[in-house]
Amino acid sequence: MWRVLMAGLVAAMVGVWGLPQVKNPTTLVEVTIGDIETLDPAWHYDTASATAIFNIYETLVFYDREKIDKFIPLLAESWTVSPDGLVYTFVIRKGIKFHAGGDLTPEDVVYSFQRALLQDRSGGPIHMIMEPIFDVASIEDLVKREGSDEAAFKAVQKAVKLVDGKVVITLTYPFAPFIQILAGTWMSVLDKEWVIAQGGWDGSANWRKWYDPAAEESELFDKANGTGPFMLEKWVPGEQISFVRNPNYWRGPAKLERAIIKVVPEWGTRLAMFEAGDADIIAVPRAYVAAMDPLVKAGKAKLFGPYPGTVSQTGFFNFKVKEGSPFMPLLAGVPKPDLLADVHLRRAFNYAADLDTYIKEAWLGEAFKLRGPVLQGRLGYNPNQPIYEFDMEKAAAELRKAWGGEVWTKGCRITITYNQGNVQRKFVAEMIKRNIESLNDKRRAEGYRVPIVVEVLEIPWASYLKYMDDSQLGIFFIGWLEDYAHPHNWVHPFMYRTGAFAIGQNFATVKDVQFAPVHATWLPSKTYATLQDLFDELVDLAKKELDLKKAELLYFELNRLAVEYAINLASIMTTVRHYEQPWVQGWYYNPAYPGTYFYVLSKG
Amino acid sequence: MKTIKQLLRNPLSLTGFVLLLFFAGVAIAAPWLAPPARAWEPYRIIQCGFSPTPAPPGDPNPFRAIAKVVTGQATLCQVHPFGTTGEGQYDIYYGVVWGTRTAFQVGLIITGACVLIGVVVGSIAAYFGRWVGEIVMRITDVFMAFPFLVAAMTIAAVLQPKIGRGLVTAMIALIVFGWMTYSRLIRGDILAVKERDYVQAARAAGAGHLRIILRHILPNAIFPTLVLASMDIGSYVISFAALSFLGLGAEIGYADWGQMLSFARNWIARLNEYWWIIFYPGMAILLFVLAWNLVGDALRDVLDPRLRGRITV
Amino acid sequence: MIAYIVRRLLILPLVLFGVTVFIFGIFSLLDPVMRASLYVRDVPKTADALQRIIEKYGLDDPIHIQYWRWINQVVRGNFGWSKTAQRPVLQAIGHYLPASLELALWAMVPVILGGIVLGILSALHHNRPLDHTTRVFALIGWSFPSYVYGLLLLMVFYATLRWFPPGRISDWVTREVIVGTFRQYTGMYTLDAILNLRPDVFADALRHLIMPVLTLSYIQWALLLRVTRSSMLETLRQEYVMTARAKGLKEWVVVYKHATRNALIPVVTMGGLLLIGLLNGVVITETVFNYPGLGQWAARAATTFDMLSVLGFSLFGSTLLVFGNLAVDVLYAVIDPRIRLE
Repeated sequence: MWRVLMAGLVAAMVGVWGLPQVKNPTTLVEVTIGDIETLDPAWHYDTASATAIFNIYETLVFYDREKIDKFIPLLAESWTVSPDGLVYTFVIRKGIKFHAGGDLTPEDVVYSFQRALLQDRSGGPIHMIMEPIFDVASIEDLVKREGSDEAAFKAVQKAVKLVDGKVVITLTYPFAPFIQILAGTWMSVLDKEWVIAQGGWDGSANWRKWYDPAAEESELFDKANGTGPFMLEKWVPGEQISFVRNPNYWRGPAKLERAIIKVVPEWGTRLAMFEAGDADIIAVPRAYVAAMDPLVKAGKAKLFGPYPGTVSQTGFFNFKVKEGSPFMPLLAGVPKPDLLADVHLRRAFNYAADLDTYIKEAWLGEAFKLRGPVLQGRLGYNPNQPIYEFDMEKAAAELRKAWGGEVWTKGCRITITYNQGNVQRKFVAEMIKRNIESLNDKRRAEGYRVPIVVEVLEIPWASYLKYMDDSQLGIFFIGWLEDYAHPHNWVHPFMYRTGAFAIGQNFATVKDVQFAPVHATWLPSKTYATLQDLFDELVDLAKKELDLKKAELLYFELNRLAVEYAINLASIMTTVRHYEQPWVQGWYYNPAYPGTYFYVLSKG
Repeated sequence: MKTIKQLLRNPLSLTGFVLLLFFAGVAIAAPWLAPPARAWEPYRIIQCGFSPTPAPPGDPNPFRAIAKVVTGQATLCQVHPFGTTGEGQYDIYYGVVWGTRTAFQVGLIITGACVLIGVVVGSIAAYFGRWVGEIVMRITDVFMAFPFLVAAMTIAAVLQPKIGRGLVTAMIALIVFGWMTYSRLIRGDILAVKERDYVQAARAAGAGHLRIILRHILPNAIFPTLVLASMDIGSYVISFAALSFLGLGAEIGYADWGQMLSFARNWIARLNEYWWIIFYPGMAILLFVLAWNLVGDALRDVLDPRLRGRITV
Repeated sequence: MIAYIVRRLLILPLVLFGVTVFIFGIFSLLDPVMRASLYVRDVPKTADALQRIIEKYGLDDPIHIQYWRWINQVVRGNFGWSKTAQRPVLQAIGHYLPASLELALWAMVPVILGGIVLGILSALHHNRPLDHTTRVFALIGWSFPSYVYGLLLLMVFYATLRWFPPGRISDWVTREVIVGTFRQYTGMYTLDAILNLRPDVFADALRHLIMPVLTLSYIQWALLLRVTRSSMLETLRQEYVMTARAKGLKEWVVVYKHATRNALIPVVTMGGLLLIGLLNGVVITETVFNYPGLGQWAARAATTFDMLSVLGFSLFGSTLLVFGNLAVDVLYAVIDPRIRLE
């Protein structure tokens, strides 16, 4: 026994310490950073989980390769939209089987969507479909409006139903990005009988029992049964998830037999795995691209990109800081909650942001300036929209105008915050601080002694959310990752009353706003009670506009307003790079994919 | 006097003293050895750019590079005597020099606070009868039963959003779990002293509790505790740096050795190339702790052989 | 002695109560919104997301109500869900314990061999080169922060030589375990490899263990060496050893029969400290080497406000410490008749 062991030991050590080579030509290993939260499509809202679900489950419609605005039918054979844009009718493909053996039926589709709506977990993705279907943010709001759980259930049944074997979804108002949302992983189609057998919602009006589960309470937390090209093999939380090929996949089996996604938070380890050939694809944070370049040059790695990504990095002004906030702005030494409601002050900050240096230094050149909230490459991005170019003379001029000259003569104190550990946000915040404070020399020469102080504070992530939620921050830097590739997902958080950032910015502080359209010239010129009212109306108009040309002009208008009112600061979008081993074939970039789509890949 | 001679004759403790003096010298001379870029925040390590890859020492001979910096012939960002960390190009030489001050502060403050709490709790437990003593010692038991490091990490993590990341957070965390050994030790020593004649005499003469404790009992019982404390300074510095290393101590960019070492976690596969990111801060901690341990060890051997073999964490 | 054991065990609930109340107390310092941040990874996309999460988990209830709710579940054997491990807390401990246990058990080999054997030899060679060398190594070991030591090992044996990788097992072993024939009896790969008759797996697990074991054991080793050495020195000066020598007994008989046994008695008391050292040591060692065990889990939980995981680990650790110390006391009393427990 002992001798066998020793012999094997020596053999294994020699074997394992050999040189790297193309390992396991039919297994693809991706090494990434984030861990999966759940495998329940209706629950997940993070890219790691989405990537797993993306490879196991399928949706009614899908992207046409790289394109983000062309859709092909997937589980739907075909679909029609009524002329008013309210009724979507889907014919479901026949002969498709789930991994566990069940047949795909139109009932499965209806069940999946109804289950998602009724489960509506807190902080989850379902608000995206709640909005166009019911014009509410959550199922709880629907219950309030309809009067009871029972009535809300009826409303859900009416909104998503089966008519003559076709799936019919009815919206409350026309919603241009609806098809994008349908292509998202949260709209994955489940096997009704199988989910019920796992203890899931039974299709009855008694949906409360399954409402808003914690991740682990969902019956699909660690199980999966889709129609997709890969089947779940095993998920070891915090370590890895592995998939095996679905041999009966309806579009023909994948080339890869297995795919593995491993979680390795340390960059150095990921790099070492790549160099040893143990990883076929690795996540490379922007900061480390320099370590990959030599490998690419030597032909030991393939690089795709940099492509325009799906994330923006932006500073936000809070027009009215909440009383009692530790970041209360001061004007002439006195608390002034609405200090940043003055547009000249905001413009001064924008002029003081040296974006070229910021992008070159902090992002190593891998970022673009944004021209309003809408991301480059999306409908409504206006390449001709002028933005604030770095100019300290103009910054000084604007600052002189702020609060009728009071800021210039009496001094002020403003806090810029960012979440702890984010070096790029720290860089831009400190740069703006430096530039704005440099104007103090000029002021002192004119005899104004009380300085303008810009304080830069880093805050732990957890408290950052709290302060943001509570409208307590002055100027804050944060990023937004789009949910679906449509401008609505940008103007909503940045400008709409209930948007994730706008809610903490208090645009309603600005009263009596004159509006004269520049792009959407068919709109009447008029005066709005508050800036928020103006934004809300335009956002609503744009999301309902089915005419692409008109929609584009509406988004142009929104971008223009965002820039002119300077509601944001130093807004940039980052790029994406994809690194893989030279032997990986078939990869392409679609910004709307949550992660790697293993079906199109092969090795060798 | 005799003790000091004895200490200086022993080569080990002599090494310890020399090392300590060296570190003290570096701490005092920090503004000259590594002139801060911004005088009002000298503990913020000088940053020389944003490149993620560590830059090597600018001169194969670090002494020559340091000489250039001290004499003003070159700036730190030009020569990097000890190289830079990745992710933000923090100058390691600057961090090591100013980190000496941090290490002294951290070691002395934590030890001082622990001893103080330990002495107060221990005196109460020993002096005020059975029941008080019993209760206090059970509370001590609870603290002793904590898996110390994880508990300290929890406190540091929770305090961080409350009072901000920094030295104070991690120091509080370590103090909360650091006082128990002293309270136990002092309690035992006080119990031994308590019934002695001079204490009884003071009590009979009507002296107050506080006076008896402060004037008659503590001076006769505190000595072993102080010796033990001197031996513990090094281990507190290690623990503090460990919290920093795990991301819970000093903020990123603060001149603290543990914090600087945490940069190495992203480069473990390339440490052969970027050896300086662990070598200099690592050696600084090692030698600093070694110095305290050598001195503490010798002190103990000379002054209180009873404590032999006692080590916390 | 029985009475002593019973009394010490009665302290256990008190200790556990204190520990959990303390942890709840710490977490009650946190704003509910901050604790809710454990459940959101990104910017909350809807306005009421954080509020809904707070209500769902009852994070804004008074702390005693939250404690009561937790205790009620614990009594039923439900220690809650570990968000960090994505498993129930008990399962998480069950999942990570074998890894840490394997590490700790292997670490005992150099600790005991190196510590005790070298300690005795060092005492026998008092003030000779061997003694000086080991003492210097022990002093350095005692002053070596484990993370510095671990990083140095990684520099030499991983980054430069590529002999020993970080992590716990290689990919191909993971595959063997998930889809292959390799059966996990204990969860400790070295032991399972022997049971499965798989020398290749044994070798792989051992390769991954060497650096963490060296790191975890170095400080403990130094500690034990110092105690053993001084205890042995003291014993050698005792009268009965002198007498034995005077009687003309052979040196090795004197050393092994008379001195060693008695010298090791105080060493037993080090067991408690050793246990504390291991519990703290695994946190840092596992983090440095990316070794998925209890320590790494607890460290991640502590930094992400995962209260239920921290509670679970602390209960586990505290119980272990109480029992460990009790075992040490009892053992001490058993081997040394002069000691009476009361």
